[in-house]
Amino acid sequence: MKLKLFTFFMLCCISFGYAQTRKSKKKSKVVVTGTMGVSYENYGLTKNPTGWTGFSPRKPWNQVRFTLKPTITIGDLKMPFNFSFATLPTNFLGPYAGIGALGNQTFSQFLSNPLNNFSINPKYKWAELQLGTQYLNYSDLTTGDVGIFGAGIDLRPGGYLIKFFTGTSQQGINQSFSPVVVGAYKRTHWMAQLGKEKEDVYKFAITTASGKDHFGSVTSPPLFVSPQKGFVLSLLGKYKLDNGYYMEAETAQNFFSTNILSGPPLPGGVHSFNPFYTADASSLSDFAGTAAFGKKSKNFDIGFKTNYLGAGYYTMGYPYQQSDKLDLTVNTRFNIWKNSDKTFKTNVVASIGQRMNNYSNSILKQNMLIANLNCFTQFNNNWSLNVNYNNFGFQSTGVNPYSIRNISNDFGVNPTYSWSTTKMANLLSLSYNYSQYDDRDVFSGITTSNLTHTVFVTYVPTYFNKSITPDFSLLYFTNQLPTFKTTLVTASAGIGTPLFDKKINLKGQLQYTFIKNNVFTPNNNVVANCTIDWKITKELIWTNYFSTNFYKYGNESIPFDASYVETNYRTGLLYKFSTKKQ
Amino acid sequence: MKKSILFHIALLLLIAANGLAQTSTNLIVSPTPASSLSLWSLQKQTVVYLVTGNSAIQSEYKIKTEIQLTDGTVVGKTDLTRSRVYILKSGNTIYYADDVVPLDYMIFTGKYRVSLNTSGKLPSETYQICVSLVNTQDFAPIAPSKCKVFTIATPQLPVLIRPFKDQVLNETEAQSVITFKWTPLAPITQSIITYKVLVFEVLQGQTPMQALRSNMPILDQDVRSVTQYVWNPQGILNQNPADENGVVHQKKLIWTIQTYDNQNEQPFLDGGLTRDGLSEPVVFYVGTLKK
Repeated sequence: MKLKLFTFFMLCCISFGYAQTRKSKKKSKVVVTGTMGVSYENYGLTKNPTGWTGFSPRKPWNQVRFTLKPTITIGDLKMPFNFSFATLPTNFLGPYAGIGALGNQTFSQFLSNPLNNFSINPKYKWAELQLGTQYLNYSDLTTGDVGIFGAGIDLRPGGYLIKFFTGTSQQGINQSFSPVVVGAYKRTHWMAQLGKEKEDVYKFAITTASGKDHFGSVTSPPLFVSPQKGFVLSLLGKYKLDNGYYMEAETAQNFFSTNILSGPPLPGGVHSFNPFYTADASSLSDFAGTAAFGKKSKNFDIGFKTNYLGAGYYTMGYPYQQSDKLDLTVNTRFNIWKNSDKTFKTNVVASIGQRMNNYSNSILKQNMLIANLNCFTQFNNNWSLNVNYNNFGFQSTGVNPYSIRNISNDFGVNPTYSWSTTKMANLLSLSYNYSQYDDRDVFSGITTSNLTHTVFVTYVPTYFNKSITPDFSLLYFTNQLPTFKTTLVTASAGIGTPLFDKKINLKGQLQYTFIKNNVFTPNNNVVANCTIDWKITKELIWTNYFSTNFYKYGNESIPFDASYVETNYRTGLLYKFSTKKQ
Repeated sequence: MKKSILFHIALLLLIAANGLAQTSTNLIVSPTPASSLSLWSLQKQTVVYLVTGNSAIQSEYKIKTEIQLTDGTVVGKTDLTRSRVYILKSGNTIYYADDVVPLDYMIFTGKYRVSLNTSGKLPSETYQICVSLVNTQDFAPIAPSKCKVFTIATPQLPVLIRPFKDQVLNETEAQSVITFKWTPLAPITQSIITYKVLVFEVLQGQTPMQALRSNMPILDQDVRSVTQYVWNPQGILNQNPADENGVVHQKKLIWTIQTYDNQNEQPFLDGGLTRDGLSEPVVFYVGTLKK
């Protein structure tokens, strides 16, 4: 019922907006521009035999999404709104994981669920008010990944930076065994930044970010999650010279409690950092730093970057950031081999880096070497060639069972030939990729190789006198392990064409895949999909997407010859509006 | 489940054995506990200390714990002047890590204190934990010390190798096959680890982290022991997103590995802030390669 009401409301809004646009095209001091839309997605899965558990749904059965993004402009005042939300919570990871199975969310949970955005950012010259859901990136070491529902300011008078924001990133969610919900404590944040910036020249800033879990926010506390709190303070500097040289650095110190219920601080333990952080028995404090310098120019770039995060460097603004690591990277880009018109035929991009994980740990330190090279050459109007090489090495120190050694080498070559006749242009592209992954077993000491070959051919004809745009491709893939071999062949054909005076765009694709594992009978897969976009008016577009996927297993799965059919249908109305005179 | 049953059987046997003695104790310690000491209280099987009292004796006592190196050097011990007081009761009383290794009453020395201050973890080494009961006046022992050896090996969650950060995969090729590679959980154990390969589509208007925390995964595949998965997307990547102007963009995806313990019961708690066994995620794209 709610769903229908929402859909009806959005359709009314679209109609009203369309009418208003027509009326207000005459004269208006207030300008309203933006988009609004509603989309519906349906997913279906039919398995044979019924009840077979070998394949799980990959999308929600029904989902409705709404977007409303108007910007109201009155002279120098701009008020962008962003209301984007979905009716069905689909959270799989993070604090809201599984909440959909619990039934209806509370209103505050709905507002701060990362699935939804509700924000208004009124801006007048150098002053911006930030209200609602904001994903604010203050710096790489403080905060940037987490959406917070709250209020704040971003002021930039005369190049000075004054930023402050406070709000809630997650509400308290009770833990549940059935349905399984991990649960979460309510988490509140505040952050601030003071500094000076001249865009593309320099930036100096001092940043703080703080977050805290509220133990009393749940009646059934999460079993495997402790309430935490953290505070981080950073200094950031960036400078760019006229001749292309640049340098930037950030250093940060954190204070973090892994369990705020752990009692008073220990003698010799981490001290409080008043008034921002009060230490407890589980408090940690560590350091992180990043630095980069280099030179950028039209035909040559070189850069050096390092990134260190101490073993106890955690910040609530980047919850999945890996700590205890040191990264060193050198990268370059350059153009060589001049054409007669002084442009270059060849572009080379390369990087080499070393990463050390478990850096503080002398016994279990791991070294990773990562090297990438990509070289593209446009020989003439017909021929081009792309060559790439990637090497990845992973090794941990110590003796068995701690000594791990894996090496991956990938090499790819991709020539492309294009030619034209009086009626059509043609593009033929061939790609071959070789990949070898050596893995040493720490217990037996035996190294096994995992070999992959991929061959891929694409042909795209373009007709000068016809509006259809077909494409064809063929892929052969084989992956060989000591006791297992997978071979996969895919043939795909697509076609696109405008219809009804280009009001409708039609695209279709058919794809067949043959998969054979070891000596088992082959798996077969057919995918068909179609896109129909109808430009009803200049402002209103109706989009449709249909897809079906039939997969039939060989005799490697039980029961033999099991199969399934997936269907996916998406439809949506998108309306662009503007009261501005055309 | 099996682990839990064995743990409870062992506990019952200990209770039965101790029922025959007077003020006796027993200690069970996981040989490879989590490196983060704060996790010990969440995983009950890490430390279990059983005290069996005699109803004829009613007295107060404290639990004295020492963490030693293999050569006997004490690196951490209970601050008995501040630690909790317990009343000896008849029958069996079970204590867990919160009481035996109470973080707020433990004093660590030297580099062990520094390591706990910076990371909350003990350095990777082999240790011995000795636990005894002492009286509250002069801390004289009232039950013999029980010791157990354990090894700390700070784990490193898998690091994602391929697709790497911001890699752009050829659209048509990726619609047929994408190979995911990652490093193993280190140190490697002889037990079987389950890696859950998770891929999320970043919808128009979403940030990658928003997609990870709110969307249903388009790939959710358990892989046991090996560190590679060959994915045939079966049409789920066959439509690239278009913006409000009809401009088609590269499909943006974010992937990660969720590591499960050897019983595949719960995500691997040790090794990350969020304690859900999630590796640092990586964003990659499917679309036309930009030369």
